[in-house]
Amino acid sequence: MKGYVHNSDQSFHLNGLAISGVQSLNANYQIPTEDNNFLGYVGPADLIQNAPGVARFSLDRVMITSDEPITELIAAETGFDGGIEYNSQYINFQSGFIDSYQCSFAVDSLAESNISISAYGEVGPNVIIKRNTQKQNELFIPSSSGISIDFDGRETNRVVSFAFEMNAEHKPVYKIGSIFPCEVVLGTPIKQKFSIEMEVDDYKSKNVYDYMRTGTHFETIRVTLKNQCGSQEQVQYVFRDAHLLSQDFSTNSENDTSINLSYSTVSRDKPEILYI
Amino acid sequence: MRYIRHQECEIEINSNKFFAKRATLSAGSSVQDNRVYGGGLRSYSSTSALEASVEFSYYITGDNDPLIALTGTHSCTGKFCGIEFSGAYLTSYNVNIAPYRLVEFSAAFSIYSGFRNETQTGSFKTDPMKLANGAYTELLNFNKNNIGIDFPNDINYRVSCERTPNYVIGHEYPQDVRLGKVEKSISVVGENVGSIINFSGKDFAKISISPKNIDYAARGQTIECEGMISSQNLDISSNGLMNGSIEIIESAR
Repeated sequence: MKGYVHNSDQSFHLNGLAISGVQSLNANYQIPTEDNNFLGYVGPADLIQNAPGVARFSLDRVMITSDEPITELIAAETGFDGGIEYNSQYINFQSGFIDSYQCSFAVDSLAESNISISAYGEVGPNVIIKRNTQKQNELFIPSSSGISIDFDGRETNRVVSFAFEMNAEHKPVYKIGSIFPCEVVLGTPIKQKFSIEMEVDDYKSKNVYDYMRTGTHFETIRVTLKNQCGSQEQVQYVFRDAHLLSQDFSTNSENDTSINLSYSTVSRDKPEILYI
Repeated sequence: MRYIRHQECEIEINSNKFFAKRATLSAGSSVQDNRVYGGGLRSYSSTSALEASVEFSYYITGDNDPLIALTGTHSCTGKFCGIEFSGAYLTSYNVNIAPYRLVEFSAAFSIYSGFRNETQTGSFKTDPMKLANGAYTELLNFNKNNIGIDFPNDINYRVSCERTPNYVIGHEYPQDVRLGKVEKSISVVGENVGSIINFSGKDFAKISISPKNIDYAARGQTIECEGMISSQNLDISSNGLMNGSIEIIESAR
């Protein structure tokens, strides 16, 4: 008995790939139960399962390689396997679906992402999963100075921070006589949120009432992240028909003038994240 | 007097104790006021017999449900928290099955011989039991080709027994209770309904349902139904999945 689990003795696999840059992991499952209360019954109290068990996995990672192997699993028709290994022990899942994916970038810090997975079917040490069937990608560390945003027909690289969030709701469908779901249905549309903080030079604000007159303001926004490790690799997040949700302009006597913009968009397809 | 706790209220039919979840006893007389010309109240009198019933939902712990044998001409006796009744006839019998839910049985009785005694607490105990669960229930012939549904997610089986009491002048309780029509029906909810029926319904191969527990041990008899698909329904709403449902009827008597 070692008494503890060292971080070097842990790993997380997703669809055959050992995920790099993992900062924290959480795995839980819940088995709903009800009491065995019956009229007149004074036998041993017990609990009875009354709904299917669902497992959830979430992980935070620092983006030292691109998230492409993860984001390509978003809105997948069929589930993928994966799991945690610690001290040669396992908590594996058979059929997982990405419920949410978030990533955030800020000047002077490494980009981070968070992934939440719902797993249906068996979960535990006896589940056999694919391991190391995918090769690790080359290092990809988005440069603080390499974040640029193109929207409203202008391009600026004075981005201070940027965050993207995607939520895809999955609904398992169970049939009588089966302990596993017969289908896991992806709820559409897929909701995406995007917020960006920029230093202001000539940013031109919009009139709120213009939006009211013309309907919701649509915008196509393209955020590009360039690799600071020398290569020409880049990731592009494209938000088509994004709705401006809020604008937050702030300034002070220290000449710090910034603006926070929040956008939301929905789509029938998975988010447009291009790895170039 | 004090409130009776749920664990002190036994439900018993023909000396079999039931793992009941909910139970209701009701008695209703048809008593009416008799008023004379001028509006004066003369008395109260009843115009028909007492309407009394007991119904409860329960779980099966063995491979036989003793109540299914009561769909015939036999009457039964029973106790509801110490209140005794006899001359009880099963009028409806239901089985509800859904994924991962306990298979819930329910029965309703018409009581034709009144009640005796007041409530009396009592309890029973057994070893831990494993109850039937929808996730382990075995279905036979539930498929697209037969009934138009591959993924049944809700099944409701019902047997209704028509009971006609035969009253004789001068007697409070009926001389006998005649069994009329016995109809079985099953409604199945799933992902589709298959081809839509015409005016004459649709025939299908016999279906059967075997409620089982986590060890695949039988809980109650196998339910079988062989009749006609009498109705179909498809419904869908935005943000939802299409739900198909069919109704199967079988006239047993």
